Amino acid sequence: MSKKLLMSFVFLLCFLFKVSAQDRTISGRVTSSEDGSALPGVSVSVKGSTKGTVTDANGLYKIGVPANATINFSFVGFKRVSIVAGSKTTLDVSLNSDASEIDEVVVVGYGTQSTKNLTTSVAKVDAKQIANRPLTGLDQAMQGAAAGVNVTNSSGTPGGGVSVNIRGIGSITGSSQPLYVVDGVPISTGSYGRLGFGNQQTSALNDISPADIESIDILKDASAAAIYGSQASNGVVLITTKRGKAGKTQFTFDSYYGVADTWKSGTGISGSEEVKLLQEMLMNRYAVPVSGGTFTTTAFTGTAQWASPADFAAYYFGAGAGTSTVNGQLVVTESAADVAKGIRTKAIFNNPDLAANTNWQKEVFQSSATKNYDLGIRGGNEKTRFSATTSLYDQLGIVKGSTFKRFSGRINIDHTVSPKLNIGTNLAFSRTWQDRINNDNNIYGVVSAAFLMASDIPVRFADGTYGKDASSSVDNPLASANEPYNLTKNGRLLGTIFGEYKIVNGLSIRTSLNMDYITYVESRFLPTTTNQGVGVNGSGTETASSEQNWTWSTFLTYTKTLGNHNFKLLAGADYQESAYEAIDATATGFPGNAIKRLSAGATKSDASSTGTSWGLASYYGRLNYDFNDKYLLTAILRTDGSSRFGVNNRWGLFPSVSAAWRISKEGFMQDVTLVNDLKLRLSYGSNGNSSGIGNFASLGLSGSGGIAYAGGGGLAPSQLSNPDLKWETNTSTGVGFDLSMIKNRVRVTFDYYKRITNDLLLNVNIPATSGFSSVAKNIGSIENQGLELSLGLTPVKTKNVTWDATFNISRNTNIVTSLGGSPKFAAGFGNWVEEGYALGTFRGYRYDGIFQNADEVAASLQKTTAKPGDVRYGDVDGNGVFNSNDQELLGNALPSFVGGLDNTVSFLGGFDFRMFFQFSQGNTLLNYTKSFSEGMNGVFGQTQGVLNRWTPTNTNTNVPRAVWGDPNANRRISTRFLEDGSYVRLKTISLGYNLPKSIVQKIKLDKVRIYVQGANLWTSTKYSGLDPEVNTFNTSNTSLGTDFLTFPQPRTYTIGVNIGF
Amino acid sequence: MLKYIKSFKVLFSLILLALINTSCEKVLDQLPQTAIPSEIKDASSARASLLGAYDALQSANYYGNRIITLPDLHGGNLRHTGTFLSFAEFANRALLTNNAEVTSMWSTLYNGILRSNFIISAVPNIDGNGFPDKEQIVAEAQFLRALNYFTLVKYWGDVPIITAPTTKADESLKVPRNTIADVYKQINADLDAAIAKLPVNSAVGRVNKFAAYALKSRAALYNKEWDNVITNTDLIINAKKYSLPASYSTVFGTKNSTESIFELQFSNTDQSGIAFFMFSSTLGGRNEVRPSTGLIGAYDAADTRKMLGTSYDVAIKYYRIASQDDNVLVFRYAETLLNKAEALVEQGKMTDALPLLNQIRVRAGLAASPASLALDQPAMREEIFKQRRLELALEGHYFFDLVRTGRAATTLTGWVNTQRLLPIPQREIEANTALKQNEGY
Repeated sequence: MSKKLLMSFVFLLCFLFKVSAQDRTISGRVTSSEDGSALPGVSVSVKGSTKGTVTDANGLYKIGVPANATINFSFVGFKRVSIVAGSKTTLDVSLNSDASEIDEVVVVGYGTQSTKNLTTSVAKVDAKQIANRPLTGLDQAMQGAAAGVNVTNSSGTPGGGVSVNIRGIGSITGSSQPLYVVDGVPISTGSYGRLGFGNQQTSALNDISPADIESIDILKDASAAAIYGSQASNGVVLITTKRGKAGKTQFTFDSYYGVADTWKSGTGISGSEEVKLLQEMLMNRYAVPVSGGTFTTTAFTGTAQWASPADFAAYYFGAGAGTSTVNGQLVVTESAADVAKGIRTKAIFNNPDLAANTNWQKEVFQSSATKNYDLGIRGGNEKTRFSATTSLYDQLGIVKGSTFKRFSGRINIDHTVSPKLNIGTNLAFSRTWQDRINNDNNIYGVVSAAFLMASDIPVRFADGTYGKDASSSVDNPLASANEPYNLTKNGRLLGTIFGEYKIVNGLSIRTSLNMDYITYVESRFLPTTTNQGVGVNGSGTETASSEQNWTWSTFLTYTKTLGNHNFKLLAGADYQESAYEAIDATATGFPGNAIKRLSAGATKSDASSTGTSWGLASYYGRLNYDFNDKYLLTAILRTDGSSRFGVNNRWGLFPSVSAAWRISKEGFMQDVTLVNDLKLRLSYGSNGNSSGIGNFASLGLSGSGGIAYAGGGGLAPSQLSNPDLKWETNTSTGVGFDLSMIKNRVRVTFDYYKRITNDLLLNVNIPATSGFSSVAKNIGSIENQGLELSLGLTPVKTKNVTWDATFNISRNTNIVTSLGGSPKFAAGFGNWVEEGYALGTFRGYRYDGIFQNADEVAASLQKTTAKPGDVRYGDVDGNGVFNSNDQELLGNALPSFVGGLDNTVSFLGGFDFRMFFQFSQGNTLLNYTKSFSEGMNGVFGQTQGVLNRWTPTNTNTNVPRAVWGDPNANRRISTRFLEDGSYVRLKTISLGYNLPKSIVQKIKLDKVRIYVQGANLWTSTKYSGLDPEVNTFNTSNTSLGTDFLTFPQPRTYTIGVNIGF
Repeated sequence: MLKYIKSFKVLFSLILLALINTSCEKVLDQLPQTAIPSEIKDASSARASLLGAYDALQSANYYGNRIITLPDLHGGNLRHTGTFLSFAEFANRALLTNNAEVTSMWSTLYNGILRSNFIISAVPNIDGNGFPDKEQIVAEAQFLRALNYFTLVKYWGDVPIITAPTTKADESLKVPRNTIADVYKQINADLDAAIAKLPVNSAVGRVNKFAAYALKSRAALYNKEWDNVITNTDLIINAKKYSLPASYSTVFGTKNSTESIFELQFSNTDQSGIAFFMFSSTLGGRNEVRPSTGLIGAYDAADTRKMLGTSYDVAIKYYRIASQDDNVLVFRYAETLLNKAEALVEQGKMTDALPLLNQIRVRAGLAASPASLALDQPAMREEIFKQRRLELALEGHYFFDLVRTGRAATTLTGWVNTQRLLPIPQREIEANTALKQNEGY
């Protein structure tokens, strides 16, 4: 139905055509009024038609015009000029620079629009905010740069994942990440790696070199994003890459070199402190004092009498240890092998100072280099313009064993076949190499083991092998960093071929065929020097996967002016299909560690392949109308059909409408000279989220993956059907204004929005007695409401100094308004999802002090598990029983405010200075690392907090006692581990100097700028962990704000140069 | 003329646009490549589905690991040396209702039941022509369903009985718990039906009549139905199909020995995680659990079943760390003998029980117990219990043996009787309001 509607709309366009004819040619030169220099790239057009050209390198142009034509000359930064050509055949024009008129062009999807005529909320990040920063991906470039856009680096892993939430999180099981569109083509994003590395992810966005980006436009509002329909509910990020301009061929070379390190590392206890702690843990758990220095252990070996705690501890840990009885007490005899290894021997337990003392944090962190080289060549003539760029980015991680390297290139070509026909192509390729390491929730992680490996284990044993703790499940962190071979290679091809034809005046058609092709090859080899490889004589896994995603997009645009009524119509159709496939294989039993390929493995223990696909068909239309540039209206209608939707809901319809009133254009405002521009905006729109739906989630299926028995392939029901499955519907209403005053030196944008997501896609927990754990259903609602304020100031603008400052702050409140009757549920390590509460809420027990004596324990509800020194928890429900119901909501991981402050100052004719702060305020972090690193329950490495543990003589503390096995679960999620995660961070500070023209020209160059820069140089936070910018769960919507042995952000110092010639 | 050409071009563009429309919507037709619609409609899908039902037993949340390791950790045969909080809760007998292992075991067991239910409901409707194993497939599915319910009832007590496959998610899934007696009734009904159709000899790794007798005898033991224990163990013993290999290490060292009644098959491409959990990290395991010194100390020096717990490699039972393909003996002949011996002792027939007990002792390298032991019922009980612990250690019996014989209170420190059952998973209580939590949680 809706499709037909749209098609009728397209046909309607036919009746609005008008034909004109051209009859002569006019030519001339365009110069700058300031210095008379030629202006290349000035747009020259005939008023009332779509005819136009641009000036060449010498400022020359030639254009065919009808009689009595008016010719417009426009160029960014200059005042627009309209001249009636009359009967002239030459027309030279001099343009005056224009500081007052701010009229940027923003990309809005299937076209562009000038900011002054925007009716919705679109944020723009331009090249100069991205350039020269040591950023791996363009998503990082948006951090702190736009109000309402909350960017969180999940970790400091080179090439790691980044979470971007625009105007809050509007989904639970679906994606909350925006749609990325590069030069009009929706691209694949996310983590394509198939091998696990703790929670470490890759990001397909890193395939795009930030140096190729001209601008990033962010459609925040549903009314703007509706043009992308069922993919747009989390906002749309439109990336425009640099294109060639007619004129002299320009070469640019940009390079920087940076050195990075960690701004903070954990502080472990010493080896002797560790040994004392282990002894204390064992004694607190098992020992019953008898008399005269002897004691009995119970519940461990039956009943045994030990001569000393050292004997008992050595027995507990000693490999091959034996016992003998001396005077009725057990005494340990040690094996020679244990003594040779020199860890946890009886001698060491008797004298802990003999223990090794390893600072694992120091061992795994390194000072590392980042190198970047960008070469660009741009130019062309009126017929053909091109831009060719290539980049090499090479980053060494601040944790040993991790690297990210990208080699990329892009060629964008535009060719004018005739005044009516333009064709072009964009072709980008990239290759990335990533050496990866485990981290986060992984016993083979590097940062993980640097925390969890005890400090009394030496880096290496005397025989040169890695020091390992046979009693512990974690591997030597240095072995985990150096020994495994984990290379992820990624190839990416983004190609577009397009043509644009001007059918008649005002009406044009554009079609483009686009391909996004990703390949991943991952190789892993775990040698026998690692715990993972030793048991199986080396283990190798390789995967090969690819995704091809093609899009065909065709649309018509029609512009028409009737008196003061200006219309712009758009109608089009897009088709998209994506196919993914992968092959994985594993082998074990290698002949040594030298050959890493699977061919060498004796046992091919696993081989598997898989494939999946989806398709999307879309029809859309948009009307932009304005009356005299004063009253503006935009209406959008899009319909999407998706293969993911259930048969009962194949097609979704997404309408939106927005309006604006440029008050400053009204007659009564003309005397208010203070105000340069004032616009009031209103919007309402709906769009959808289909990203979280599994490709075949609507079908009832039986699977066979991994289901086999006794050599035969098996089948088992895997999924219940839901033919009603559909997109999540996102509806937002917004109101805002843009104000520019005092000669545009003060610019304010303010927005309020309310975003309601209904038909929330949930994997609803159903009774597991059904044999299924969940079913995908569209139930539930989330509401996000927020305020955004952007301020642009130019406090100083003199001949010698220009100071620009931009500040943005936004507040978003999130609430899960309904789970549609499905049960509330826990997520991550401590998060909780419940109706009436925000996503990211933490839930756990209430820390209520430490039990000081046996009487307190006996009188408590924890008398069966606790002893003096253990944590007392609150009986939250007050029913006199302490159990799982005594958990309460403990804070939220979502910030109250996020924002950024950017200052750029250019001074003394060649210097530029930038200082960019980014902040997050009011968010709670779960320091889950601490629940292990201060767990005092086993052989794990511990941080210095444990030195203040409760003992009968150190009672005034909030750290509980050390006890083996932690019978009271002092480590459970409680207020103990929740911390204020607010921070302010100096993201970038830089100082640059442009060499004077006189010098530069002598060496035959156009421009030379040198600069020094720092990233993350200063951070203010109360958070006690390694880094407040963290989430071990990456882009999860429900598991938020959790730090668990995560790779911290690097602090980077760079020096760089920008050369143009 | 010009005007007409332009109009033609416009028309042409629009027609083109319209054409794309219809032909390109086929992008919406996509088919899954790794799954098929859920139905069992012929012999081949029935056979594959049965293998699917066996596969459920292999889960790491079942015989692939947890059902073997957790009861011994829970009872103290294993101690916790690893990182999992959820395992620590078992070791400390301080289970929280959101314990991940409890949640996963519950789901895995019912998922196994679903797989059986699908077969039991669909296969009888398939044409039997060219499908000679039709009834056997149903019988095997019934056995597996009974085994799943037995595991459920001993861990959770009252549990919902589901006997039909789930086809849609609606309110009908919210079922209350059935009584322990009803669950056992269901188990025995399934086993009786299965016994009628199960063969005497079956393919390696598949169940036969004797596996069903073995399960019946174990269930009877838990219910103290001594006659029933003896009847079913006799059916196995008298068939003379099974025997104890001379060396204890053969039982685990050689796959599918003469002792194995139902042995779950693992291979290097279909692995079990038990050795990985028990081996020290430096030998390629994850050192999550390790035989306790209490268990190791309980073996005599001469006992060939003794584990080498403190030297990090468990050896004996689950030792194939490189290939991770240790089979799991779900039912073996030694247990049959011990079941019968226990039932006889409870009936006061100690002299009949003694030779059975001595078969176990002698095979382990120990001296036969003297005839005088048969005069002392409490001592005989103790000895059978001890041999059961030592013989069947790390095979998922110990905690349940402690509980059903009433020894938990005296053996486990800080025992509270509500600890005999696991909590119903919190997620399950939230999803099914008809379920009531077990006492003590």
